[in-house]
Amino acid sequence: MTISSFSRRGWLRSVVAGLTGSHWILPALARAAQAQGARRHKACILLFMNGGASQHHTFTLPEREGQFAPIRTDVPGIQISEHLPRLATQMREWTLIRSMSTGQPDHAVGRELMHTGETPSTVQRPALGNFASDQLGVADFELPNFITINGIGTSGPVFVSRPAYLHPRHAPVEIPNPDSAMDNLISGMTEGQLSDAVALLQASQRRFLAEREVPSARLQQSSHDQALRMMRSDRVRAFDVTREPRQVRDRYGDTDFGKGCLLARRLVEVGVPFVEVVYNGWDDHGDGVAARNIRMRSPVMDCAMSALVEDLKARGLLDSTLVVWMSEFGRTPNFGPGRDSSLGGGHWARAWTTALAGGGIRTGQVIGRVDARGAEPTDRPVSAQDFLATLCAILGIEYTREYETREGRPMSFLRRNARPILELLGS
Amino acid sequence: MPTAGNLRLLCSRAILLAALLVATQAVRASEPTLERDVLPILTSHCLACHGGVTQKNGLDMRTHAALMQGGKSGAVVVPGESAKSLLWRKIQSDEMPQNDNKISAANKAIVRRWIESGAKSIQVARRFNPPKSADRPASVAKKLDRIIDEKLRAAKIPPSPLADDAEFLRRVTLDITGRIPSAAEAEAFLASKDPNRRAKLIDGLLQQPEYGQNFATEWVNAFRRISMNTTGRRLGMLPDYTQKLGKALHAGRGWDELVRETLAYTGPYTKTTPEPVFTFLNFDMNAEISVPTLTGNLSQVMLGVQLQCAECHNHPYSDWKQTDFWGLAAFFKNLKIVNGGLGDQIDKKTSPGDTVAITIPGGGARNAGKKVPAKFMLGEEPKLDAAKPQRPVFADWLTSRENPFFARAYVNRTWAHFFGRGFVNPLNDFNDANPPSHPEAIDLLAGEFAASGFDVRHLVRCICLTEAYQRTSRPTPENEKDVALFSHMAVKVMSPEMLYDSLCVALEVPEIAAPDEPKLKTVDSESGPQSVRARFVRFFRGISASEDRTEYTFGVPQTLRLMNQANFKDGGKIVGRLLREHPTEPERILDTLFLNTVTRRPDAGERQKYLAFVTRQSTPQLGFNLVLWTLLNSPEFVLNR
Repeated sequence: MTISSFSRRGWLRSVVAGLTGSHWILPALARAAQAQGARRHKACILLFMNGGASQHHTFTLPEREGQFAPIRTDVPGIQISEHLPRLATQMREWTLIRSMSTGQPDHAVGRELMHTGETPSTVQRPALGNFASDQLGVADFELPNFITINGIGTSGPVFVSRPAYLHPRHAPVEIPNPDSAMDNLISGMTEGQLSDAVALLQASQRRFLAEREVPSARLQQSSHDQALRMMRSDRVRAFDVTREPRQVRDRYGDTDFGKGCLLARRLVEVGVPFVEVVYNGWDDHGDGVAARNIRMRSPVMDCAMSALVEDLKARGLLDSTLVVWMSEFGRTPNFGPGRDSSLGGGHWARAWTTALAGGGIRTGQVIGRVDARGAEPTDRPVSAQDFLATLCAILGIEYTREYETREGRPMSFLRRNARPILELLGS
Repeated sequence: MPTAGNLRLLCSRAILLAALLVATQAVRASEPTLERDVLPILTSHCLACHGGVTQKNGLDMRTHAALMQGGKSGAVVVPGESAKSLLWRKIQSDEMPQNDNKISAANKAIVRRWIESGAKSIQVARRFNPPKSADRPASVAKKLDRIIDEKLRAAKIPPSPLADDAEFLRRVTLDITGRIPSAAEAEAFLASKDPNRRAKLIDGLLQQPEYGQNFATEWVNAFRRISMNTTGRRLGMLPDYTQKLGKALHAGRGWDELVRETLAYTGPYTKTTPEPVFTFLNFDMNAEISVPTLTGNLSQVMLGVQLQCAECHNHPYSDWKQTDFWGLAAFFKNLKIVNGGLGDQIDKKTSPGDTVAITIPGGGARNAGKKVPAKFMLGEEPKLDAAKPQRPVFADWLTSRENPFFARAYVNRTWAHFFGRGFVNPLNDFNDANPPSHPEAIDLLAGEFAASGFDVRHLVRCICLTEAYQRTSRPTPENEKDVALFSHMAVKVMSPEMLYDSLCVALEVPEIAAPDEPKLKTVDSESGPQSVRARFVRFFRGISASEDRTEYTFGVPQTLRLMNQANFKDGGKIVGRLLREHPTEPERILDTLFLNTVTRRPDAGERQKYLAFVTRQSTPQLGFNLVLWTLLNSPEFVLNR
């Protein structure tokens, strides 16, 4: 860990003081930050619904002309889709942010924005996961500090979280298939042979870097170091989801997303601070397409996410593990028939929904409101910067910490005026 | 009024430009220019109201020409006289900008100095006059070196010395043929005393079929990256097309001709269909062709410009107009998937004299419903026969010698292939606010490329014969920070294709199948999407869609495969062969293994350490197997120094 819990708490305090000019929120914040003091660090499981999940068919059903029926949940006043019955019994563990307002309805732009806080440009920016690896991760941890699962769809990589100006070791390790999460872990050499050969290899790495100190060579070296640590660690068992009892795996569901969530839980259990699980295929264009498809996807989501939160809680990890459900944007309210204008048919970034659980935040509540159609936020619009600042504040990531690019340009994760949602932080 | 989104865009653009400034500060000449020094300031303070989206008081400040033209109140810039320049008076007094985001004193000083020194522009000329005939490559290379060295002198950055023969051999072989040289090739080259050996080596490599395959692969991948970035959709691999294109390049056919064929292609979708057409169509048999997507992708790769921003509105900081985008799109408006292939579906009622025009569709774009006639980018509206397909007309314009965009875009891409960085970066973002690092060099090369009949070999010779290309990648303390001026060679990372082909060389094996990979018995197995090579490439491509050749994109799973897959520990065919041929000469075996992987002999210290390592193992075979393993896993192998 690069800074102590104490100074991180101090930082949180200064952020809040700067924002509100008062200290009323401090005790709550200190409590939130203390949860992390108890463990090594907080962890985050980011569930990314790639393509843009329809809020109208999941967590924020429209008041009129909806296609799914709303059902009551265990929290009075919160209703969600009828096709998410398990999650409906555990809304007390979740907070819904219904007023996401990010303004970027293009897939690539939205993905970049929701991961890095900015729209794409030629300046490479690290994403949330890279910062988590940098600020929460343990430098010589045996496993990678940042793992992405199912991040390569049939269509190629979904989003690449580049370390950019952070150390290359904060690049994510990608697991395209949770069934064979980590192959080639067995060397086949004896430990003696391996150590002997690795000594030669490491000398060649030092030699190269002495002559040419380039980021590519440093990353080559750190990939090797990481690979070796993994080959020699018992913790790699975490990669093998088949070690879980049958009934546990069944609860998560025999799906890529379900197995991804189970794998994420196993990784967080052994100390990985950031895991992103991608669920592909949410780009539902066309009249009635979202309803048809999301009816099929809902049980997948419902099983996997409810089992994840249940297991984290049973293991005492929920308070220190933030679970985030998000997309790059939401879907259109009903603007009339048509491929991109029907309910859920088009991209919509002005009012959409994300969901958070765990992490020691105040749950069982809804942040923000939208109008009757679900077209515009009527209260508490949340920008991408605000959203990411909120996640950072929960996890203990200093989002205004200054870094320097290779050219000497000062950079920070988020802008100084990013405003975390303080209502979430107190319990 | 600019929308919030536009403002955000402008802001991020300003940040980017600021970064550019920092990066080029060291090289800034004493005389300020609009593009390098002033436009970044205007972009963050002025263009929201005086740019492509809004032009208050009729004033457009995006280009030199527009600034000189002024607005409704007359001239805003009087070169040499800041006191008479409205621009200076308004910003000096903070009357402008009208919002609170005032221009800092330091930036004001830059604007003033720019006006006082004559309000110079380094805008790249849009007129392009290639020479009548191509020059000798060696003399082009000399001219390029003069341009590059001049910049280095001005920036007081000394260049690194030339690479030794071993470093040069490995680099040029990888860059041209896509694989490392074998030990035998290295021994021959390193023994040569011919003063012209480097030029001869380049010529020899350009005659190998692998040259064509390597360049075809690079080109097809450039399209893949673009279409993946814009649509997130990965396209079917059609290696037969890559092979066909590679053969055509090897046969010496002109680049213009190959691009014309690709763009004007009409016919069925087969294995040898020119893939780039399908790639920028975002090809999917069940989907409709998206003309805007095609136009955006095509302008990026073929013209090197981000014209897609102009789909919905005039470009906010460059002077691309919405009509430039749709004028170009109009050439493709009849393109249809016909009988599972590509064709043009022209309305039967069309008569030859009709105007070829496309209607801007609704859905957020400005001017929806407006008809835009076919028009060459920044050029005229040609006379067209509306009853015929327009793609060939467009292809002829695109590939004509006088089109500066076409030659510059390919030259820039090819330069980046060799240097790890283009003159313009990102490679597809030529615009006034992003000027080339070496404008004279890119135009010299583009002119040569056009004059040679778009002969890719000529272009490669001109580049590879420069001292800049032949410099070592070892920086000196004085030039280690330089990334843009070519003071020392960039260290590039092998592409997955290069890695596979180089591993085959290093192990002396025809293919490298993972032990658990099913063997396919179809025609596909050699080159198809399920071939051993294609699967290796897919695995090593991993999560990368980056065009940056200096970026290391292999992660832990790839590293683990290189470390632990049996193929890389069993010595391939080479260790057994060397032990049979030279059973009593371990030094010779070691030298050969080094030459055959990292293209150099071990130094004395390494020789001693490696030979001692071999003797510690139970058998010489195992010892040398593991030596080869360390070499294949070393940074020196996977990096192109």
